[in-house]
Amino acid sequence: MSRVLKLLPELEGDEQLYVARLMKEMSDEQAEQFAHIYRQRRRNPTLTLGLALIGFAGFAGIHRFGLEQILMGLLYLFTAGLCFIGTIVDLFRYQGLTFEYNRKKADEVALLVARTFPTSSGDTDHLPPGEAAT
Amino acid sequence: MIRQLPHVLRTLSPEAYLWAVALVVLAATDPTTPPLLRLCPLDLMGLTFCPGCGLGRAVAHLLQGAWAASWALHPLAGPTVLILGARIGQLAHEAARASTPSSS
Repeated sequence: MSRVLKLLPELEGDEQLYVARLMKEMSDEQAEQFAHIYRQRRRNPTLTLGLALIGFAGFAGIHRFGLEQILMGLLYLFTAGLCFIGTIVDLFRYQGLTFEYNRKKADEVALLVARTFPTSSGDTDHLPPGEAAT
Repeated sequence: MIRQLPHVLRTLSPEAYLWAVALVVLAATDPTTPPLLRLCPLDLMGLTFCPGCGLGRAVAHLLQGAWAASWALHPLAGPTVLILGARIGQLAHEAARASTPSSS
């Protein structure tokens, strides 16, 4: 958990816990690389909230496009966010929606980092980070 | 997959339940009678135009097999049911994947 706070202090709640769990299995170098890449790829929940609010101006579902839900985005766009009901629901669920996206990205980046920066001893799941380098 | 079902139901996003309940309620209501509850926020605000107007009734007609009536009310009823079904499936898939983190 202290690593998350140091490397990705902007994370909160479920996302923070999830990333902390992923980082536990990484070496220090891997964790730093992970933080670097993940910061570029994650979505900010506040952005989701802002984009969802545009729905009340007539362009609903932009936040769904931003979270790579193309079909839901189209459905919202052509029905005014299911007559505002979908938009209002998403205003309550914006953090969950963003976390759903970020969790997928975190898994991808963790896999990428594990492959690109392998620790010298291979599987280090049960080794403390200091021992992995020897 | 069947063994995972209780866990999937517990971790499934509220969004999936919302769409599922909406589809079930629409399938069970009669779209030709006026509704008991006016739920549409635009209608309550006094607005008369909305690109989604009639979609709920159109989906209800569609789920009850009245294709022509459904198309006449809103042509997007079919895509709506398919997209919401796909979204429920996607969320269920993610809930199932989250219950077996070691395999990902």
